[in-house]
Amino acid sequence: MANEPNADPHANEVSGATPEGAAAVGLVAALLAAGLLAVAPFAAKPVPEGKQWFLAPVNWPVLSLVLMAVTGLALAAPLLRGGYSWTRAGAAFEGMLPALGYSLLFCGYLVLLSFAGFAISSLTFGQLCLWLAGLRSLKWTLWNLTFTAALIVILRIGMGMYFPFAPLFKLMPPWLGNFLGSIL
Amino acid sequence: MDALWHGFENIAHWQVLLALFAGAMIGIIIGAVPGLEPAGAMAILLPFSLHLQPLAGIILLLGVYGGAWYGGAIPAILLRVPGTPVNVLTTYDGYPMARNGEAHRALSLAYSSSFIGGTISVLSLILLAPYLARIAENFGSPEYAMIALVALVSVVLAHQKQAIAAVMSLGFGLFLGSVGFERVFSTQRFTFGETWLSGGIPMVPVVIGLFAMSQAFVLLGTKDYDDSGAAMVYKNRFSGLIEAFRYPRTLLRSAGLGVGMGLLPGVGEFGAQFLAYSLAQRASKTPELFGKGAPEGLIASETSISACTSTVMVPLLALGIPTDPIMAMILSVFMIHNIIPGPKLFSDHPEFITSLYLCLFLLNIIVLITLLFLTTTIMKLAKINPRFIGMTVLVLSMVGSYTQNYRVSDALIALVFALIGRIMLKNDIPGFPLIIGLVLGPLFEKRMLQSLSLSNGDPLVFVQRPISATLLGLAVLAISVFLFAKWKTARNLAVTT
Repeated sequence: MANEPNADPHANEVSGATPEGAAAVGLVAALLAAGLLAVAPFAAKPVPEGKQWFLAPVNWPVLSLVLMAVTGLALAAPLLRGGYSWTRAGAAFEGMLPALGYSLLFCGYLVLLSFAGFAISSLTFGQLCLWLAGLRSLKWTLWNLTFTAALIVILRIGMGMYFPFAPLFKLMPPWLGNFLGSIL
Repeated sequence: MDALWHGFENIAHWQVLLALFAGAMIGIIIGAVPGLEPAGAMAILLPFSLHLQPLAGIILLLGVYGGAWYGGAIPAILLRVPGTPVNVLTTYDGYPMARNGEAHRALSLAYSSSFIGGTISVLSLILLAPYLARIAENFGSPEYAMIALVALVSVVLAHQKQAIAAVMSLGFGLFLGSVGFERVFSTQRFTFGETWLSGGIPMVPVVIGLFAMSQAFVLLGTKDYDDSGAAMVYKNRFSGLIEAFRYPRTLLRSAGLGVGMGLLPGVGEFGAQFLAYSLAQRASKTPELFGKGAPEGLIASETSISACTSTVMVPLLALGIPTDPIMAMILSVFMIHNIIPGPKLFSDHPEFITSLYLCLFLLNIIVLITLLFLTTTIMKLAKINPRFIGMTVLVLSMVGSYTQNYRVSDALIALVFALIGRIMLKNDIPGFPLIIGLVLGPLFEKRMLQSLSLSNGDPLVFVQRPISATLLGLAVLAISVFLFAKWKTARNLAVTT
């Protein structure tokens, strides 16, 4: 058997995962959990007076954060003891730049959605994504146009999916704005 | 008999029939296109399914789930790229068969094995779910709390090599599940005064982010797939259909393992296929052929995967407990239509249950027929540029996460979890435990508090009731066996070095 049993689809998709990388993620998780534990007394109520200990609202988040912090530290232990290279551990976050770029585009998509409506924002976002991904020919622009048109036909016209009326269409003459705004 | 008749009547509705075909088709395509996962696709489809009638909504999602495992065999056999991560073992014997000019045989063998596994799985669901529901009628809070505990333990132990990372992921999920309004004293936890957090962290955007958008980021940076193997012509579509029956032991063993593993939370298709494959190899007269085009290997892998698909529903239908993210999504469709899964479901909605069973049978037949006649067309989809697919997934993810409640915050939650998912994906940190923690955490906490309140804080309540004690014992035993095995491996390693 070339592979070990594994219940997570992620595990089979991974390319180049290293123990150093997992240690770095463990360290970040432990720090995050520690930070949240520090604010726990303010973020959740302790046990009210006269009530039993197990009813305290703060118990459950604290328990789960302790679980996260301890296991995060266990993963990070070889890194903290100097057994792993910090440089190699840094590779855990390698390749995140494109993902951050697409995330920024996605935020722009959400902003544009509230102003220009579903169709125009989807078309623009799709085109920018394809351009960033290196698909820059006219062929892909046409594919993107077809995809957006299909979405409008299936979601907006076919399923009657609602999207808030975009302010852009209010700038148009009412007969045109209302018509386009209800479809796009 | 009445329930059966009503079941047929329910299925005859156009929405249900459309959902059956659409779910099957979408599932096959999701499976056939490498890089797309049924969990992500289902999360995207969830908001649409909530607009349909309950049976249609559930069948749409189950169609995607069931169809994807069938469809995943296509690129696994023809391109050596597993369509879904669970089809990885199909590549071992399917691809060599295809390279030897037997693509048609390998594909129809895979389809018939999946069909047999899927059918046995539905039969097992019909037999097991009402039985478990009858037992569950006597369950109280301690039993439910212990079932949740067994599920959480099982999900962690299923990630053998990444158990620590799985616990970390689970801890994060449990924490996320605790955020928001808590009902005992009506207070807010970790909301920091933000009203959008008071309802808790919504599951759908988290699933979309972790399983769909993170994958989209990967796809957007992927080069085109090598399609050299795709040139093979799919000629005789029926050649392998009957052949699967020449290996009845492999079929039954793999189906049995699939059914059993499907019942165990978090283990499912992965555990089943690896165990089925290795047992098939051990029992084979020609074990040396495994990995080089052994039909038994292909049968074992595909049968065991499909045999899980319906039995994973047993805990959901009988106990109301979702044991994986996919079942959690199905549960939300149930809940939105005020159908409460659990022991009473079988007595309160017998016609619904019958319709569901019939739909699951039909689904397997529809998927098989579709694949037998449309494989060549579906193959073309597997060759679509992955970067273009990545873009479409991002757009659909926005639609799926935003339109459930029309809150930008939901889309932003999806985005945050997409980035977290990307890091987890790159570093082999399992994502399933996070979702299970998010879904089962609140249920576990609620049942624990109820149990302890009933016993005035005495934790012995969990060992004083036989079923609860048995479940607790099972959880402890599973952890002990796991730790012992780890210790033994470490000791052997130390001795050899």
